[in-house]
Amino acid sequence: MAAGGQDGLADQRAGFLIDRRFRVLTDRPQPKLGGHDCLAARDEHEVAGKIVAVRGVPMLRAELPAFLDLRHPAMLSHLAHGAGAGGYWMISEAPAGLPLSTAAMTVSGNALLTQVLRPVSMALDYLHTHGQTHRAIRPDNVFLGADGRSAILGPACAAPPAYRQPALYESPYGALCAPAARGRGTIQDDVYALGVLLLDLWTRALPHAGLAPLEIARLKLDQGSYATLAGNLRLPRSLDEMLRAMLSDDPQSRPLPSDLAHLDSSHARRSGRRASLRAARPLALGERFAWNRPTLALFCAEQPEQAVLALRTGALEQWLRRTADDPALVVEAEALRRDDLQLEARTARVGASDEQIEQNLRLARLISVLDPLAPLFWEGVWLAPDALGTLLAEAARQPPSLDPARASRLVRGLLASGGLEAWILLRSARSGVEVQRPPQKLTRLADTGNIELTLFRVIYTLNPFLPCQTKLLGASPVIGLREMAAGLEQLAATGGPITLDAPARAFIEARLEDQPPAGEAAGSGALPQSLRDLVLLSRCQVAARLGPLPGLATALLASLEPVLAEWPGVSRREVRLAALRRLAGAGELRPMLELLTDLPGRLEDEAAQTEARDEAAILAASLQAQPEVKRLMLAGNISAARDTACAVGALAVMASLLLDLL
Amino acid sequence: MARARAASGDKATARSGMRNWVGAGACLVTIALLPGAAVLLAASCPVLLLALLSDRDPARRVFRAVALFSLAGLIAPAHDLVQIGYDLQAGLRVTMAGAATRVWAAGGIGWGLSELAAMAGTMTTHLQAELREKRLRQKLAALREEWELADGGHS
Repeated sequence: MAAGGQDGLADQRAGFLIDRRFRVLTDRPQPKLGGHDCLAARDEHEVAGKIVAVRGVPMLRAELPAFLDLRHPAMLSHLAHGAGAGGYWMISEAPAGLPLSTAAMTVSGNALLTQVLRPVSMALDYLHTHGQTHRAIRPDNVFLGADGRSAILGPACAAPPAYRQPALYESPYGALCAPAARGRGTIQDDVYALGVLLLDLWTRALPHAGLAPLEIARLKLDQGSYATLAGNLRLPRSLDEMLRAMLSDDPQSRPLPSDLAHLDSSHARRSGRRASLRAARPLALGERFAWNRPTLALFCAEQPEQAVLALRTGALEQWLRRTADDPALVVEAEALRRDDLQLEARTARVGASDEQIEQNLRLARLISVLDPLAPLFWEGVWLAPDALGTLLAEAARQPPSLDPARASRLVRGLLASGGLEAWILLRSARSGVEVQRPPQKLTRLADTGNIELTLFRVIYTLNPFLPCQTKLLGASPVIGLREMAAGLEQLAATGGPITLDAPARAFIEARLEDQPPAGEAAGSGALPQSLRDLVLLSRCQVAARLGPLPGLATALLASLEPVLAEWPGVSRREVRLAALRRLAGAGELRPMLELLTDLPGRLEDEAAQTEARDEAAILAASLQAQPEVKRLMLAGNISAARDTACAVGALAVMASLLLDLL
Repeated sequence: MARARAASGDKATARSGMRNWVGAGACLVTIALLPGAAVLLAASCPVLLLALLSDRDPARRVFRAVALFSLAGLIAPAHDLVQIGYDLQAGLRVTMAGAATRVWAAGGIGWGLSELAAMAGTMTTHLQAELREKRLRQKLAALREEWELADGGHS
């Protein structure tokens, strides 16, 4: 907030407005909040208290608008969000105190329970009742409240779910996944993170903090989360029991936030499942030895060839028979081996067009049999199905994280070939845990030939706040259709034709998804590329309620004029071309589209062309018959001429008679 | 059928023979009764005969023109012959007085006129055909250009 009058005047000019209310002061950086860059902000209506603008990660959560309505005393409120200054910003309440990562806090069992566990659990319970998860509970995103004691949760929506969570704060299954692939999870994942936070606050130095995420996941799967994190630490009995439950590897064994919020009733759920049973003898998979099923599942993912070998030789089945507590597992492993043999025979016989997909599905099925709680493993990537969009968006942003070809295979295998549905069915049957799945419409989107376009379609459909990554508009972020159209208009002013690239096309398509179709030509697969671009841009112009776009329309002309080249009739075409140029000058994309897709006009002109073709055939035949016609005409004319001579002779006779008589 | 055709041919031959005999009879009667007219007609014949022999047209248009013009040239000498008398002397006098030349000239004019008419007809035909062809070609070219049709008429 501006303190002095001069500062106040400067504030009036600096920054930009979000929701016509919150002014973001771009020249006043603030300390980071939960690891995110911050700027000072001010409520122009002077209703909100102290607020800040938090810069979001581009792949923001799709449920961001839902957080606008959520208010809880133990959670920083999310007031508004919008684009500006080259980024996307969340207006949030400013925390009153320091983050727990830096605050000096009295650490005692009772203080942890009353000042951290209880308020945070109440906030989580509030989120749970509203169907949301926080997924950003870590020391730098939990703050001390105004009283300097009780904890307050920081912003949840400035990044994809669990995107900035250290692997230690994630369950082993969350830690297996890349940060962008963890998914929104369940409230039990927040309970787990809260458990780790309590342990962290107690110990002030969690073990294994320097290990790679995969190593942490492996340790947690091998030893159990609690054993990995607490080690030989001696905790007060009440805290120890609670943390054991909260850090259970099975989400269903963790207490609910409502149980934790009422400390008395929390005792009822202290029944955290122990780590998976350790076998008497390990199973060797390559050079590694798996002592329990979750670890074996992890090794199978890391060494698929060895896993298939163990399955085919029956070693896996035998090991399960000796160690598994559930006989159904052995039956499933047997079925899997039979299916594998059938698949191999079929592949050898007819060849497999989708061999890669079959192999991925087989491996995912094997992992799911060994560890029903494991996330989806496909194309060498661990992911929660609902995080597919975030993962792909990050891959498109930072290609080394997931190369485009692999991302394309991921989309094709999971969405177009039904791999995801098959896995969800399997997973639901095995674990009974509901799986967050991506929207159904993606299956339709993925069922197209152009894999690059499909990839971007999926990315933009699943990430409604992701700026367009088109190279056409350079570095300036394009958040919505309005910015896209305005950017293209500006680009057109620099001259040269404009052709939409795959990101731009997919972005417009995804953002138009909820808009009513603006033209009957929309979605027509047989249209040439330039016309499809025009369909999209005209819809974009209508949806964004922008005025004329003469620059863009003129820039599109170069690619649109060849469309008219196929129109029958030179003069008719020229009339249309002149009309098209006139409309382009006026910047009206929709009438241009109507002109180019005028089906009745086209049919009329084609009918005229058919008529002209018939007439031309008749004329050509007449020309061919011309010598014969000429011969007949000659004979007739000579006869007529000689007859005329005869007639003159007759007249001469009569004249001669008359003269003689006179 | 062959018999019927033979019978029909026989009848035609018989009719032609009859006609020849009637013509020969009429000539003999004319020579006998009107020797002057016979001399005049005989003097007028060469051009007619020449036209008759040279005209290959079934309709004999050249011959008809020559005949009509010859007749027009014959009217005045015939009138003179009627006034002088029908005997041989009168016929020879009229003939020698330039009647033959007049009849031949009239026949020649008729012949010439017929040929001139034929030439005019030929020229007119050529002109008409050329104009028609030009018109057709222009129309075809316009259609092909407007609708971008190939030479075969296809677009």
